[in-house]
Amino acid sequence: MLREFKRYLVIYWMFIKNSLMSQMEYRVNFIISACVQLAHMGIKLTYVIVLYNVGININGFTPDEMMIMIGTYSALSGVFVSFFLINFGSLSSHIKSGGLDTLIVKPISLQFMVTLRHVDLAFAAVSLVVGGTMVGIGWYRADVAFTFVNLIGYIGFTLWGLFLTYSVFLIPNIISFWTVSANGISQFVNQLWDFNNMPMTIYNGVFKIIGTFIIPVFLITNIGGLFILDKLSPLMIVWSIIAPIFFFILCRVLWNKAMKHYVSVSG
Amino acid sequence: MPIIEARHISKTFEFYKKEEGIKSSFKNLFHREKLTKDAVKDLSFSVEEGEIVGFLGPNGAGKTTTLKLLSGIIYPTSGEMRVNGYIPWKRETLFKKQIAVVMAQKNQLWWDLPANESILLNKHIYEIPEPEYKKTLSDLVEIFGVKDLLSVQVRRLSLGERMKFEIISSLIHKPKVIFLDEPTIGLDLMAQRDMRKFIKDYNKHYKSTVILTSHYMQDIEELCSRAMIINKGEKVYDGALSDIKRDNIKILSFSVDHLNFDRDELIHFGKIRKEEEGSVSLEVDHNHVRDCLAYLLNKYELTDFSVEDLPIEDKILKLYEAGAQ
Repeated sequence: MLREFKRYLVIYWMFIKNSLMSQMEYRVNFIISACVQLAHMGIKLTYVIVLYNVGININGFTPDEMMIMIGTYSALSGVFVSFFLINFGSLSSHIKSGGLDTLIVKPISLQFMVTLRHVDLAFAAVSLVVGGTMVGIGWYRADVAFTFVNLIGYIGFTLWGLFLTYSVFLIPNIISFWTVSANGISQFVNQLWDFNNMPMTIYNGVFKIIGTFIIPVFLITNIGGLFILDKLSPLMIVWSIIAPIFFFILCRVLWNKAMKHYVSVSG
Repeated sequence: MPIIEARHISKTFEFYKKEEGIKSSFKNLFHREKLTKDAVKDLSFSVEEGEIVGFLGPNGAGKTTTLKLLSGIIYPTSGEMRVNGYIPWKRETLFKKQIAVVMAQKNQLWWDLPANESILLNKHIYEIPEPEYKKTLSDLVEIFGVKDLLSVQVRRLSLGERMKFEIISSLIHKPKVIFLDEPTIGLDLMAQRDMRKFIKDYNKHYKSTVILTSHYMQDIEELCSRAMIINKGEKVYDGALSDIKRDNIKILSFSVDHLNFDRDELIHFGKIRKEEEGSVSLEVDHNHVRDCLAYLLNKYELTDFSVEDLPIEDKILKLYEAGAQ
């Protein structure tokens, strides 16, 4: 088990290395990509600037606390796009072109190969640096205690949220195995990501229930921030721990069913 | 004991009808008429270890579908199959470590990186020990003569060079069974020759079993001792290529000074293949060649004549036609 885990880690490192080397072959594109993400992060920062200028609290969140939430969202957005979406988006074309044929015969998890093979590091690095800085500033200004529990809690819940992201956003793409093209549904789910732009507590009623329990996009970027701000209920803590496991199992079951449905394309 | 055994394998694909025009596209949004196609029908065969078997057949005959079934890429609709003791579509890791699939029209190398990076990735995927990896890689690049190209980005290589690295990358784990789908398609004559030589040498050296599909007769003739001809999903011939060659039809060609042939008389001996100014080619049963020649010598003043075997391509076409009927 541990040996297998180590093997997958080595292969994943090779995917990252190969992706980075491939991107650096096109220097101009690599730099432009980083600049575009930098500009995108600048736009996100304007939200915070407006909040500071207005100086009001939103649903109990001070501007400093909002900074932590938006910073986490910004950092994870880059990671989501760079590590996951870049691969999920091409699943449908792999099915259409029969490109899966050469991957299916490799003695390694096909899901791992298809969903994690490419990484856009320039995009991720900018998001992590800018988002991480926003979180740091917000953390300091909001006077949140810098304790071991807070640090581990924040990093742990954020990484756990990332694990949930993988399953929640892959599931709609798995439908491609039946429909071949799943752009409509995956675009819809991808749009849901942007609801994390603001803390989940500003949403109410059915919308909040759907976003928390049915398509749990709210759990992804909120939980780490809410944990250190002491705004996380015990029920939410438990659900945040269970949900990624539940959705990953669901994702595996669907993937295995889908693989039986794969018919390739005519030779 | 055979390394590959297939019993009554069938594969049916579902698709839907799409007639011309946007009107039918709208109609299809609400109702689709489902159709089925039998890509492979009740196919049974076995292959012994170390054999090189060529799958021949026209486009859409079911060759690639059979290859995909054998390699576990797709599930059959019915039937049983074992490759080296494994059921392919269970896709067990141990099974996958013993096979290799090379599809000429599908690329597995990282396009922007030198091929050695993709091969190194396969080393980790197949868990090949370092000394064995180095030895196999050095042997394979040596046989193909591409050592100097190992560090050149794949996108800068020619189609032939790329194909060589596709094969090297696929064979780095020394598989027992190799499935090659059109390995020489699009290659120039020299690259085709190199590829054939490589497959032959590899099979000899590693005693691996090779299943190959190709449209080029030369590939099959040079590499395969056995050919399996598939048409419309059914096996129409399975046996030695030499047996196909040993067909009873001969081609009798002759030339004369004047043009007045008695067509009815000639048809009596066999089918007229070609009729040009002053020369005719006839397909004649080998038992009637002597009679036909005697008739011609008696009736016409021949300036030239020859008796040849029917080209293998024609014999195979006849098998396709027989299968289709």
